[in-house]
Amino acid sequence: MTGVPKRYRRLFRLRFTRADAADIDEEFQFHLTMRARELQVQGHSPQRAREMALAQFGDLEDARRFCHAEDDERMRDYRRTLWLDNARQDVLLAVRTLRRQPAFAFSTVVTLGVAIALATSAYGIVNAYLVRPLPYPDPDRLVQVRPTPTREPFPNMPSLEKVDWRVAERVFRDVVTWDLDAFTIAGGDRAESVHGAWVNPGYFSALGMRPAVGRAFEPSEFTSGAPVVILSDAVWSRRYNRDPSLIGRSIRLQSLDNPNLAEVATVIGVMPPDTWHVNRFTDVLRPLRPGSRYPPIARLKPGMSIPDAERRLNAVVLPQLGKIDPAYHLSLVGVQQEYTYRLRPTLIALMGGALFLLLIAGASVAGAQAARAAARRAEVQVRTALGASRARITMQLLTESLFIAGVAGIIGATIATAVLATFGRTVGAQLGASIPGGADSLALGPGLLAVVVAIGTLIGAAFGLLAALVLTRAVTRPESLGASFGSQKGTARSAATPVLRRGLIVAQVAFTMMLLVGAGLMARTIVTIATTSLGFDDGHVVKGDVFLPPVRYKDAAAQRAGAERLLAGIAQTPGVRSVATSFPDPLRIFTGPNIDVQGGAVARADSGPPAAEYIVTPGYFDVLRIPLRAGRAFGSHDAAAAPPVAIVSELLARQLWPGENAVGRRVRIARDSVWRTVVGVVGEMQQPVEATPLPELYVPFAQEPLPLMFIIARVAGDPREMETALQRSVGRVDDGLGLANVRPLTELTEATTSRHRALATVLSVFAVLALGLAVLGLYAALAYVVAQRRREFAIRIAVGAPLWAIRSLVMREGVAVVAVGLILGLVLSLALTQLLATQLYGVTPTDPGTFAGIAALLSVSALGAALAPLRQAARVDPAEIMRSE
Amino acid sequence: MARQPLDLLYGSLDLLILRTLAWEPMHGYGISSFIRQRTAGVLEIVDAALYKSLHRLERQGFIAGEWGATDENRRAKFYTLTAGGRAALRAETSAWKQYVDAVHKVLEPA
Repeated sequence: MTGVPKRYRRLFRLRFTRADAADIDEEFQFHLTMRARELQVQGHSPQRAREMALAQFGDLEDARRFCHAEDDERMRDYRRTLWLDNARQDVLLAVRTLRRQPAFAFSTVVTLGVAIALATSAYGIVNAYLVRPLPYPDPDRLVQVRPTPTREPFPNMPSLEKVDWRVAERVFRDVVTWDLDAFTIAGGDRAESVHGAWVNPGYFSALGMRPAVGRAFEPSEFTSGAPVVILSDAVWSRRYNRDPSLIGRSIRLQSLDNPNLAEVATVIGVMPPDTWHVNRFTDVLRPLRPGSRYPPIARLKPGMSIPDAERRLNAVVLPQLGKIDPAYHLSLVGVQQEYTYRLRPTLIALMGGALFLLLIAGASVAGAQAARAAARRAEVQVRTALGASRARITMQLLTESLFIAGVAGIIGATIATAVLATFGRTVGAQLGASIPGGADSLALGPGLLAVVVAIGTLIGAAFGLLAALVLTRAVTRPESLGASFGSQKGTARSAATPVLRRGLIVAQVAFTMMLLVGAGLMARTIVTIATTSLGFDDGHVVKGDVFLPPVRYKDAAAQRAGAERLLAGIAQTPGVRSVATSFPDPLRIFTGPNIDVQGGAVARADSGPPAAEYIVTPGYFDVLRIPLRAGRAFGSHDAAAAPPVAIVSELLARQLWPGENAVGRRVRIARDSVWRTVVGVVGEMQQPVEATPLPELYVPFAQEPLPLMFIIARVAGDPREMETALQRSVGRVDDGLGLANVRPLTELTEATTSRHRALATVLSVFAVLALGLAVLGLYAALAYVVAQRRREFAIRIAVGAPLWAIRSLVMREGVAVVAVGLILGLVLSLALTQLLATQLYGVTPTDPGTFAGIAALLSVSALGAALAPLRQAARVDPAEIMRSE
Repeated sequence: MARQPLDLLYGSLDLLILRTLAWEPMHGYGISSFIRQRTAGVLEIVDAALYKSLHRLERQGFIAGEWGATDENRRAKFYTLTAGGRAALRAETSAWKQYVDAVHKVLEPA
């Protein structure tokens, strides 16, 4: 044994890896026997000698226990070093093997690395929205109160306005209520309109909010409605250059909803820059006077469960509603769940897509491993013959897979971190809901990153192990030993390997089909959205919000005159072609209550069809280029004192007076007492994707003036460059007025579909990557089959088989796996595209066209993958093959 | 027995075992007899302590045990000094000599 070099000795080492108590007994026994014999020679009787030997030995039991413990410890150390030694050897061997095949190593690492990076990035986004708690103390205890009819449709929704909501304060520990408002901050260079809210004490206590500079509202300031204000960090920076002396100073601040309040308020605090609100209206906070208000958010009492609180709330609120449908109640939902309600399908589709791509990447790597099996069989057999156990060989192959996947995992984590830090910041805008806690909460902590990468790595390694197990099973069977040392006739080819390889291709094709179908459906949705006419022309249109402070614009007449002056002033701005106002805005981002329309056939009914009411100035249809179908548009003669008029959209006209001319008919908004004469019919405005489609009813601004207006102006040049000019025009008319949220209208129309476009883009990227991997996988598998069966093909050609027969042998292999993959993919897609259903628009989740198209695309791609192997099979030269054997 | 043998000072048994094994690989009984003969019975070894020491030294990697056959063809566990054990013996011997010198200087002042 001493002749064997040390590093090979392990191959012959027996399995002395456990301490054996019998060894110690035998050792002691030997000692006692020898000692007794010695004493016997000195003249003691055998009996006496034995007793003396035992006595001289000392505490035998103690020694045995001690020795056994020491031996155990030694064996543990030994196993540990043996394992470490093996692991070190395995890693070195893996590195050596991979360095011999840099192309394989590189492509595997890149494939897995990119897939892990995508899955990790997707998880970062899912984590920020769905997993990470909202940035409030004890966010689990915050609930949203939601009126819930358990049946659809629910025609008689009870009005919650008359409920005395103060009873809710007894049910919850804290109740968060707010009253949204818009404020115009005057003074300085120019006035500015910002969103704000009147908030109750619970807003601060329940959500754990406190100003970073200055102080919060005092209890007395809530009760007295003191003229104090807390500003956002953004306003403090933008308007006051972060001047600390602003605290305690008064600013000019006009509220839209509370026009009679003084225009002056004292700044007492500034919120921290990272303040995050479930609602977006955060620039101005003012104290809300106590009263009965619907509580959108509440904090549960300690120890009280959600169902318990829900029962108590319903017990005190429902009796106040009088006689109501028993299917109606108030439900409590976690704030986070409610916030992410609309995003959930998108996020799940994103995560699912990334995971399936990871699976496809794993299958692709496993396929490549299996294809290498032929090359490695000899190596593995030599190692087996030298005494390496199957577990040892598997361990070695696993180490190789883990090594590859580990490197890929590190690369993936690095890419994902970079992706989340850069592109991730746009996620809030893409999804149409800001990231809870700000963009920084996208970053995964080191622990979480490690876990995510480890999971990705393990998935990658599992596929490597799968391939390795099959390889070792094929190789370590004794009957295969001889074959490998003979010729490479392929007699050792196991039945299991092709099954595994085919299974991997089937899985890749099926998963790819799923991703393609998802991407295809989303692409169809985007195309539908893009090609569906909005009903108005949003190009070259600028939108801005303006608000007439009731201090100077006290009544309807003043508001009418103000709006007229404003429109005249803006119309004179260079570059402006036409201008109008509307309420709400054309995209109805600022939603007003829906109305019921009475008139025509349903005049006598209690309520007519629902519609959206727009209060517009005469230029509205011209600015948005909404076509006039019948009658006339509004004109300056539709003044306050003139007969009340209205314009209806085509759909509303059809609903009210089917088959008849609407012009000249009378219409009434259900809550209104005024009957209006329809003077015109205009084209339908297309509603944003997720809104319930409603027909429109237009009323002239002069007859229904409002202090808040959305200015829309058609401009000649780039709408992005008009802001300063428009602001200046508004300032010239009244230096106390500001134009807020100046944006090109296209930006707003795009925003309503950004989530769909983002999902379509992401799924398309996933699907293209998946298709690439699947095609590569299929190519590799067919090329492998051709290489394996060269001899067989050569014989067939030699005995006169035509080329098409050879080709069909290869094709049969390819067609079978692709067909099974397609069928499996079809089933999976049908099940999983239901998830996308809510995100689809103008296409059903089972759209036959998309499914057929994707199946055709995959089939053609598969055929493309088969071309090169087919040509190779046909080029087999019988003479050459025979000689080489 | 004329007088009580000296108790083995703590740690000196390990040193004696290492020194003994420096001659040749030996089994536990052999080591015990060797030390007793060498010291003419002055140092009496408690066998239990000897075996505890042997197994501890084996765990520490200073000696290696292997089953083999005696001259009479009996199965016995033989211990061999390892490279680490040889180094330890060198270090411990010089430490022991320093210790003995120090004790000597106290007992018989010059």
